Amino acid sequence: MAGGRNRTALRFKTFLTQLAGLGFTPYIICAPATILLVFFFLVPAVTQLSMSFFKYIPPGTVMGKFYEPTFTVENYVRFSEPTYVIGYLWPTIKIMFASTILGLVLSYPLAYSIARSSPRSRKIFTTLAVIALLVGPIVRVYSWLIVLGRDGIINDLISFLGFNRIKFLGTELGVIIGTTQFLLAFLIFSLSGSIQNIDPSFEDAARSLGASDVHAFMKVTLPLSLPGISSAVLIGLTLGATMLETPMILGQGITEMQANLVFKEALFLNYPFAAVASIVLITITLGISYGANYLLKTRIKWMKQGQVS
Amino acid sequence: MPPIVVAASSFNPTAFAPFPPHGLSLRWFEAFLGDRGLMLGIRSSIFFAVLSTVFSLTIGTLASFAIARYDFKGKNLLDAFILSPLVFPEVALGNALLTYFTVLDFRNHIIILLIGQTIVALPYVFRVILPSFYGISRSFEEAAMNLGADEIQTFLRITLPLIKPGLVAGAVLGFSASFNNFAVSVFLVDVATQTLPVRLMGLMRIALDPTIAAASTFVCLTMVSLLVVVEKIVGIDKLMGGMRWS
Repeated sequence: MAGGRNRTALRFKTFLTQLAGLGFTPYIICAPATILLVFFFLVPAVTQLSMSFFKYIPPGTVMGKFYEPTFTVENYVRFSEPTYVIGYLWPTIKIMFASTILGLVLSYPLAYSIARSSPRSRKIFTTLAVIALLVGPIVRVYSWLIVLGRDGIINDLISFLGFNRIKFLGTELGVIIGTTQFLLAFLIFSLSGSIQNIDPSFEDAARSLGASDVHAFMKVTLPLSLPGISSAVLIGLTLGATMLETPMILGQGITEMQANLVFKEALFLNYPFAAVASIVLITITLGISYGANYLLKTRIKWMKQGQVS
Repeated sequence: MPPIVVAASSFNPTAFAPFPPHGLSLRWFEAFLGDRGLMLGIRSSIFFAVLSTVFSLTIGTLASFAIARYDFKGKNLLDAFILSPLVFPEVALGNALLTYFTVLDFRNHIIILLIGQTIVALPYVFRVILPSFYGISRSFEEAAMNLGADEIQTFLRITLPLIKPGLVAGAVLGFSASFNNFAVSVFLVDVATQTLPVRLMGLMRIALDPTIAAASTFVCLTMVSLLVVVEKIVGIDKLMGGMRWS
C-alpha cells in the first residue's frame, strides 16, 4: 500500500541521514561503485586464481560438470608445453614489441609536428583520431580485412609496382599492421603531449649556437622526450598485449595471440585452462607496468649519478 | 592514418567487397536492413549500451562527487580502483565474469551482460566526469544551501546542470565503449542477447560479405553523429580528456 511504501522510504532516508551525520556520507555515495567493482570485478578476478588450480573434466565424461574443485597444477604444466608457449605466448610478445616499435617510429614525426603546430590543427587531428577510435574494433578490423586481402588495394598497388602479391591475412605481419594502426592514436597523443612540454627555445638555443636542425633535434629534443617515449612504449605494449579482435580476424586462426587462447578455451568450456591463459595475460600487462616503474627508478638513479659526475 | 582506414570502410558499403568500390549500389544496405540477425543485434546492442550508460553515469557521477567533494580514507584507492578496468585486459574480465557466473550457476544473461558492459563503461565515464566536478565553483552550491535547499535538492538542481558538459561527454564515451564492446561481450552473450559486434565478428570469420560493410557504415554514422552532438553541446576537448590514456 502507498502508505507502507512511504514509511519504508522515510525510514531508509532517516537511516541514511543518521549515517551522514556520522560522517559516512562519502562512503554511502561511493557504495554503488564499490559494490559493483568489488563483487563483479575484484572477486571474479580472484576466483580466476582458484579456478586455475581446478581439474578440468572434458564435457561428456561426467554429466553436467566440466571442472572439479581440487588442487592441481596440471593446467600450468600444460601451458608450459611448446604448443602453447610457441603458438600463443611467443607471437603475442613478438607482435606486442613489433607493433609498439613500428608505431613509435611512425608516430614520433607526426606527434612532433602536431605538438609544434597551431591549436587549431591540433583540434582537427584530435577530432579525426577520436572518430577513428570511436567507431569500435569491429569496423576497424573489418576495414583492414578489406584493405589487406589478396585483391585489396595494397596488393593492387604492390602488383602494379611489379612485385608479387603479399599474403597479409593470416600472417603475423597482418596482425602487426592492424595492431600498429590501433596503437598509433594512443602513441601520438602520449608523445605529442610530452613533446609539447619541451620548451622549443631549447632547440632554438642549440641552433643559435651553430647546431644544424638535425643535430639540435638529436641532441636536445630527442633526449628530452625520452620520458614521453617510455610512457608511450608502456601504453603501446600494454594495449598491444591484450588484442583480441585484431588477431582473431587478421590472423584468421593461423596467427593467434594470448587473448585468443583465453577465448578458445572458454569456448570449449575448459575454464581452468582458460583461467591459466588469463592469468598469463594479466601477468604480462602487470609485468610491463611494474617493469617500467622499476626501470624508471633505476634510470632516475642513473641520471642523478650522471649529474653528480 | 587511422581516420583514413576508417573512411575506407565507409566507402565500401555502396559497392562490392573490394576497395576501391567498383560501382555504387545500395543493395548491401538493403541486405543489411533485411538481415534479421543483424537487426536483432542492433536492437540488443542499443538496449544494453543505453542501460549500461545510464548505470555507469549514475554510479560514476556519484563516485566522482564523493571523491571531488569529500576527503576520506581510501579515496585515492577508490579512484585507482574505478579506473583499473582500463588497464585490465578485457578478455580476462570477460572470461572471469563468465567463469564466475557459471560457478554461481546464475543464468540471467541480460543481467550478466549488463554488469559486464557497465564495468567496461564506468572508467570512461568516471574519467571525464571527475574533472568537471573540479571545474565548477562550490559557491553555487553553498549559495543554494544558504537559501535553504537541502543537499539532495542542491545536487539535483544546481550541481548536475553545472556539470552537464561532463555528463554528455561521459555518456557518449560510455555508450561507445558499451555499444562497440566485443572482448567482454563475446563471453557473456547467449543466442537471445547477441550484440551487433559479436554478430558482425561471427559473420566476418565466415565470409567477406559486404553486408558487414553496410553494418560498419551504420556504426560509423551513429558514432560520428554522437560526436557531432557532443561538439554542439560541449566541445571536443572534454571528450579528448576522456580518451587520453593517462
